[in-house]
Amino acid sequence: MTTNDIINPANLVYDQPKILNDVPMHYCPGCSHGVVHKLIAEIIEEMDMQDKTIGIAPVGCSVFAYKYLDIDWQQASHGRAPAVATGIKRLLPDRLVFTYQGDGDLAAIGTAETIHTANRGENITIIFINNGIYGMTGGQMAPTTLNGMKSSTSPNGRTVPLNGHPLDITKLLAQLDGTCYVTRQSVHTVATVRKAKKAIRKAFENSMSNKGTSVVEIVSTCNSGWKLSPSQSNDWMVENMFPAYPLGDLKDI
Amino acid sequence: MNDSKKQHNEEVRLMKGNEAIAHAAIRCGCDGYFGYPITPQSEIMETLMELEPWNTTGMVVLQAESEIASINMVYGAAGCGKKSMTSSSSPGVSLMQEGISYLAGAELPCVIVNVMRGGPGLGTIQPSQADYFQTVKGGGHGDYKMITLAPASVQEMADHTVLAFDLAFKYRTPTMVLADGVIGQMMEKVILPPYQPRMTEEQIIEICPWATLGKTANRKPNYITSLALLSEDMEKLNMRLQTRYREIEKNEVLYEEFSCQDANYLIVAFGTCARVCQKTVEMARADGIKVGLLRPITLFPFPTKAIGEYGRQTKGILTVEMNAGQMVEDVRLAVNGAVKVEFYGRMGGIVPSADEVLEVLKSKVIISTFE
Amino acid sequence: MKEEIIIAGFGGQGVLSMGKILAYSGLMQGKEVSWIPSYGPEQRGGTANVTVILSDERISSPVLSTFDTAIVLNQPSLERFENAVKPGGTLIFDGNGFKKFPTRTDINIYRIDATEYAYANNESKTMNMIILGGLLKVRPIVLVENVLKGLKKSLPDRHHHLIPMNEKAIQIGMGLIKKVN
Repeated sequence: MTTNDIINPANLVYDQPKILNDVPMHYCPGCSHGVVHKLIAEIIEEMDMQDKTIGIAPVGCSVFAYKYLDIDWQQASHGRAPAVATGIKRLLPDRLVFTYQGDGDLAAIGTAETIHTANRGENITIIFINNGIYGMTGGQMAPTTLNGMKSSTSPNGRTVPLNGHPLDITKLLAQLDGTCYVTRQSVHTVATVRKAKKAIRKAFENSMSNKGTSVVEIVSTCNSGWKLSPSQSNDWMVENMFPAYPLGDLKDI
Repeated sequence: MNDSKKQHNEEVRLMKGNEAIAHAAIRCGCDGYFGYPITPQSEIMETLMELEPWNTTGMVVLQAESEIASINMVYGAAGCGKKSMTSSSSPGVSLMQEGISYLAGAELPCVIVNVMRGGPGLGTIQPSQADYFQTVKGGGHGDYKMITLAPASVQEMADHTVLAFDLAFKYRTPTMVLADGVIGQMMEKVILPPYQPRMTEEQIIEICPWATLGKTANRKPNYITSLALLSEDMEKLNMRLQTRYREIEKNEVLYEEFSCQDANYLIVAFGTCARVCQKTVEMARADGIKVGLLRPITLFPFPTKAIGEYGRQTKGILTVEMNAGQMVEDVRLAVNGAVKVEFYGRMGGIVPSADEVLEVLKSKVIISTFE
Repeated sequence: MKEEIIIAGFGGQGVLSMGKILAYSGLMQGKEVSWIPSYGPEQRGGTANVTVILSDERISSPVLSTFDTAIVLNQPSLERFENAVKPGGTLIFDGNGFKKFPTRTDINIYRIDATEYAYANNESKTMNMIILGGLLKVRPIVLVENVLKGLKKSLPDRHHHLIPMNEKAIQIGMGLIKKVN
């Protein structure tokens, strides 16, 4: 077998998506963002939608998402990505419009925009990265931080009397008539990555066929914020996050 | 300001200032309106919903869940090079300030209408001009300016809506139409502007090459953002904005003079106050007092030069506002000590009467110049 | 010519629409016009008022503190606006429910019992047109034909069949108004 035999396109099993820019990412090693970015890039490429896609980046670690995906982006103010997406999609109904938001952005400061956008059934996709912590600002408590979980603003662990309950906003969004597809996925194993990709693809297809709002939550890790190694983080997520935020479709119509 | 009358044979209509804004927005090719109800400007969205422009020009009208959502919908639409606008009244415009700062930072064109009511707080629904500072001095964070038009009639509510979009796109900046409850609620004669088609996507690509319409093969991706973590980059953006603001100051100053040629005294007032003071001038002239009125039409850029010249020519200036004294600071800066600048204002939703202003003119301005 | 008018009464008495009809009539007569209502919660059952100016010249201030003519349809409005009538001006009131009556001697005072008439004759829908008729009798600032043109312009087509009824009401008002002083 010669080199040319090996690099024969017929043998190709893995390639970097063209839409994923060839630049180093600023995300911490082990972070879920990189995997989700790559999935989005692959799907846009597979759907041949690069010239029709507008992403909305949040305030949070993924504020720089526009550096990594070779598509048009708007960077929204904290929590308002769904409102920005509404403005875009209403005026450009033939475009693929998605927001990419973290738990603080989507479930704390932007709760009103999230709920009302989903309730209006805007034909957009919301990608929701839930790692139970504010990563960018240095590990503060998020609305989805688990009871007992330590963060820089709950140094002895979150307590209900002080902080109330973790917010399962995805469950809440599934109740709304405007959502067509609400699912919770993860990207910590090859199998879950494949499932997550299918989910995002379905959400994007829904957005293009005007079925309503699709929400894809990715239960994620933040090993820096959690102060664990990447593999410890994955174990901790499976053990603690999944019972509170169980994977699977919450709604699919 | 009545150039539109000459341009086409439109019938003269009678309508409220708020209604005129809605009609003008549709006619000038606005693509999207996003708003939240608040008195005294709700007729803007009500009129748009009644007219259903999505069936005619294709303009989108959407009632948002809040002013915060509205301004961010405007941001999204403006980022796509679309002519987009919102309207509100004082407390609602306070909620929009973060979004306006982002729009300024991201260099996006849009139109914001503020039909001012009395504050602070929930205040009153009655007319006020107490948001002058907020609008002209930058109500949101960071060094930015907004072109600000101050209509004083229903005709100008229509004309300024059109002009505001033109200026917003010319300078890639959010532009404010700063009216008040009187002008919003008042009915007057108006000739609506002619219909202009909405921009096609080809036109947007040509006029707004920065717009996020989807990355095509022949260009790099477009990013709408106001973020630059490198201070050197952020300073560059700031310098670009400041250069643009100087251009605006050079090119876009608008004001109207009334009986100013032989004036010994000058009144400076905008919006509804300018209408009241015009009556004061008529009354004073009947009493033999040579007083004129200068009405700034743009509040940013401010007619500094014109007012400065009157500072050297007149014996006294009176600024009249529906607030505790805001624009008067800019009048004093313009005059730079050349003549005494007095202030008279009413607050909390009260419109000063022409008689009151005449009394103040006589007792504070004219007397003081004899001292 | 310039006529500065205030119309005041309870919300629901047709104060704002009477002002609107007057403004449209002025438009039809080629006048400069302005119409500015009191706006807000008072529309819902409280006191409402509207300032209308008709003029041959460009109108300066649309907000006024004194008026050539005041039309007051309830007691609080009389108390608020009697003294705002310019000397030599006109005050028209509907005496229904009044306990105190106008006292000024330097203005022309007229009474029009439109409410009483309207209820007695089942004409409550056109009460404000009766009062407008009274106004035009004593202050003929616009021609009746322009009022009818104004109605035609301001009313949706489906209400145009009501115009003859309104014209009749104007005539009734012209006969009903009486000088008091």
